Amino acid sequence: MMTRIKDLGWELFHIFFRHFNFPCKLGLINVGTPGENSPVFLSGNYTLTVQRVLRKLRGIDCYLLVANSRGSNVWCAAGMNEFSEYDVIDAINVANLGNLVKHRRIIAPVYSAPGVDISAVKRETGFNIKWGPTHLDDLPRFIAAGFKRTNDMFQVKFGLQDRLEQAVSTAWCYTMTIALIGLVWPIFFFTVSGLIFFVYLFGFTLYPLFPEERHWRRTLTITALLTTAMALWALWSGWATADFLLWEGVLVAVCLLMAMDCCGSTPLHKSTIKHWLLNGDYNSHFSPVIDPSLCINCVQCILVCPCDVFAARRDAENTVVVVKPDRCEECLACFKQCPTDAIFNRSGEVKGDVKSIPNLEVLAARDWSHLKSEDRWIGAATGLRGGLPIVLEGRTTNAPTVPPRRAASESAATSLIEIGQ
Amino acid sequence: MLMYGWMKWVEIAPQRYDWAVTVMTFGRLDHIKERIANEVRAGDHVLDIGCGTGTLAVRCLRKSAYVTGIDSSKYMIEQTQRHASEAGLADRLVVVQDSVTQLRKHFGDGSFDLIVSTMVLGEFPREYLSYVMRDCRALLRPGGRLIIADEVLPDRLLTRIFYAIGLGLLWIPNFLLLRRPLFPIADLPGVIRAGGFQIKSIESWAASSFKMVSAESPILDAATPGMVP
Repeated sequence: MMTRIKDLGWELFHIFFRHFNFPCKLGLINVGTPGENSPVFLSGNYTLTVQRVLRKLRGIDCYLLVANSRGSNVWCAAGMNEFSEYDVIDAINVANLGNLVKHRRIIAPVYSAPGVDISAVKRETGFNIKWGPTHLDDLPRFIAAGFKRTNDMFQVKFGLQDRLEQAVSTAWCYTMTIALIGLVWPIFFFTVSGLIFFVYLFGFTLYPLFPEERHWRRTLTITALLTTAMALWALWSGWATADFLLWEGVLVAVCLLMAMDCCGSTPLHKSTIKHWLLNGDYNSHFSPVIDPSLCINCVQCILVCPCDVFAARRDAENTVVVVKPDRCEECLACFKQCPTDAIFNRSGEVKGDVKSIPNLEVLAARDWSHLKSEDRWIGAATGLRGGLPIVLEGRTTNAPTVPPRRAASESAATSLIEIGQ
Repeated sequence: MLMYGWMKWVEIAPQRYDWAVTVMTFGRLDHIKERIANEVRAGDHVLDIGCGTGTLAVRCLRKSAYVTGIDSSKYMIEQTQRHASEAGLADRLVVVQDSVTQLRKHFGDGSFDLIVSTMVLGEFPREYLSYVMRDCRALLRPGGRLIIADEVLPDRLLTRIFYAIGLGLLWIPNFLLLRRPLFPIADLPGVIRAGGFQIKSIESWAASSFKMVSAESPILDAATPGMVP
């Protein structure tokens, strides 16, 4: 009982402080009683993740290799060049993994793909990196399926729990930032903090119900709804006009903050505040297009993409094409993993926060005019074959694709796919 | 907005590395690097593990040494090269981009007279350190020296408690400025000794939470038991 309360308290603490680094110890963790044939899972050393992964792995004899992600979550660390092939190689070397297990397979979180060069890991240690499920909640299903990813394990989800954690941790950061106000004007501080928590929880809990952010539609909807609610309340309680205007100002400011927080580098959006202000959407700068003469059909881009941007051609050609570029959230995992630099960038721009790719600016700005004809695949109908998204022959349409970022729930098709090579 | 600003700030972490280190070590490190460089003799082959922006490597180059810097960050490697070029000493500098456990893949046994490392190994737990020490022992020529300067766990229990509080208070500025996770270990000299070195001197700063350990690789003697051949 005490342990459970302690666990819960620890979990809650970490949820509130999610935006901070909490490094845990590096090295190999034995889960159960692993042997030389037991699977090896990879994780960064962010405390909350390691705890959650260990909980998911309970009852399975395996190794968890905790490599140095500087106490950050693996996705941010990978993009920031704080979780790279070097950290994985170090962890493998120090754990003497080569002598500990007979096989040469490490199951890695797919969110490490923007940072970890798997060919370097293979070259230096002999270990093959295979991509695990995108979300660690899917680990038990992944293991039960014989270490295979089903198609619905590929895509980024922003489930209710994720959204609540995001809302609470972000609101908590703001509350701490304005804490000094509490010393001189406590009532204002507590009311504003309460309002921040309320707006964030409201916005993130009901996230799927609001319209897509196009021409500021989502932000305007949330602000209008909350303003209406506050106006009704003000009328009901007989607020003075000055009070109403003050709190309306605060409310609009908090709504704007939330809208601009969505611009950052999240698994759903990647845009700059400037882009949002000018265009009213969260679209990425990066827009991939593949050069078929360079593509070697290794399908790594399909395997690491959390947004279902790519599909394989299996007609006259065996290449990968871009079918839903507007879903791209610019994690650049495909760019990092492509062994032949076959991925070009339609916009010529990147947001610039991914630091793990050498010569990114040069590669992303390459002229792609010879690939204009590849646009014919945008919006092409796709189906699953052997678990891999395949372009369906003769079904190319010019219809607009499904609006991006809303796709997580649609990926109902569940067929098996062998991960990695 | 706050999150966005935070991400932007994190992105430029490598650019502010030098002054962030100076701030977080209260200016101690420049002095220590100077001291280490004074140990360098002309013509020495020096390995700088985790060379960073090259502040120590350039000091060693100025002492007419041949310096090899290894760092896993491409940005840092380029900084080292730039600083050496600006000092006109790049001809005696070799840089390698790789991680700390890969030393023996690049260098033969006995290829260095001096191995130095500052503010790198404190990021790693004991197992990592032991691994690196074993490698260093092989890479140093017999009689070669090893100088490690880093944050460690203080010696006494009471100081450790104060240190833990201090670390807690510095936790936010540390991640704001340096983004360096710290796993200060107890008994750094012990780990170095276990790697097969003879400790020559230990100096401590900041209530023994920062140590500079100077050690020597013993001259091989067939009669000495337990030595790595």
